[in-house]
Amino acid sequence: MISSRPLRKTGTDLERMLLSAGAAERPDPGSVRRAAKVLGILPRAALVAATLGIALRATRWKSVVAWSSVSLVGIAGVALVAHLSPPAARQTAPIAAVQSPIQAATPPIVPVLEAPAAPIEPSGARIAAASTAGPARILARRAAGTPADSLREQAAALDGARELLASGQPNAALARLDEYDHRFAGGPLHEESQLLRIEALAREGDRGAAAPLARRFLKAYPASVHVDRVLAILQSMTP
Amino acid sequence: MALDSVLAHHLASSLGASAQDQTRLRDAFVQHYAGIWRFLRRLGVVPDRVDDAAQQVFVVAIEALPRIVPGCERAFLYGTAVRVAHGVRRRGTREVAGLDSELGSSPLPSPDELADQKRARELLDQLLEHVEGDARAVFVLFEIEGFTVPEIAELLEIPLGTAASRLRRSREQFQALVGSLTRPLQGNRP
Repeated sequence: MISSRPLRKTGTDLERMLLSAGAAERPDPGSVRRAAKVLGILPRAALVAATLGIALRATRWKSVVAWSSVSLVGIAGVALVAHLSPPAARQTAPIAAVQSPIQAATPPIVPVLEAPAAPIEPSGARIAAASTAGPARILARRAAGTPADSLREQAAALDGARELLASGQPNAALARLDEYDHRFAGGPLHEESQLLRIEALAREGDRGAAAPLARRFLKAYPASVHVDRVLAILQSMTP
Repeated sequence: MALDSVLAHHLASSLGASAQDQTRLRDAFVQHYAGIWRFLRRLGVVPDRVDDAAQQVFVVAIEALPRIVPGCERAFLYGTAVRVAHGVRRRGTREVAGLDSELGSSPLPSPDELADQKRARELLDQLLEHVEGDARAVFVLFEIEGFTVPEIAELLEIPLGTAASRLRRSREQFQALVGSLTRPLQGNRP
């Protein structure tokens, strides 16, 4: 007759130690965030904390229905498909409210196929990027005037800044980012705009501005998919 | 079908899912993502593939959500994880053919080292590599994830007796492996 009590409780010290170590393992927050994005679940800090069983102050999060794909992180274009919450609900504080909440009630979403965009830089969001690779990408389109359109506009603005940066015009890119920040302060693509700003400052040789901004980014968004890129920029600026 | 195509297809499905299914998906994700991720690791999915594999499990669940009986999400996810892990490991084996884990050449870590959870997990995974495939999943589900034998039988779709015998066999193997690690040390004691 087999014991119904696990070895974790009844085994030898070594057996219990090994099994307990195995049971204690958790994915890192970055893993949770990436998976949440891929699955269409907004990866807010509270969701990550809940998934990992971590207590978090001021955990306030709403139901989620959409998945946004952002060209800046290697997804080329935007596939955001839900209502954004009202501006008043947006949070500008770091970490706990990196992205605008997306509310649950949405009209039907119609997936459409679009032609592939220009090549984009690699990112840490491997799966997210992979999911949109190939000859056609599936994007979700909504009626004009919705918050999703606003997000497309934001993504387009950042794409413009990125193109300027890629064409060797960091100054112009910074001007475009200033404009973006003015229009969309605290928006859902804040991480991406910050990353671009760090890159632009670094390419301009303004280490004094780029390095502190990069460090603040790492502190504010330790689980961001852009962490590797920001670290690389920081390292490249190290004398 | 390539994973990217699968993801794209299923993401499209998820975007059109009902609000109720989306809530179920979110709840299942919050409750089980960490467990599924850990389960995949214990089934031998290597660290650089485990994120992809865990996402794949939930992608499968997205499509199946309307058919999953409410309350059975956990069983579905773990059952799917077994199959996903099998596929990932099979591909991995082809890619690293010939690379064998040499348990015998790996000395037992000191207690201090074992206090390090990471080292303990590495040793655990090395040991689990030597537990037979079918029995390994049963062992991990029971000993680490806390499933009961009837639950395991249900989610793996095997008879209760088979689940029990696999658990017995895997326990014997695991205990023998742990014993083989400790015996040489005991033998060296003055």
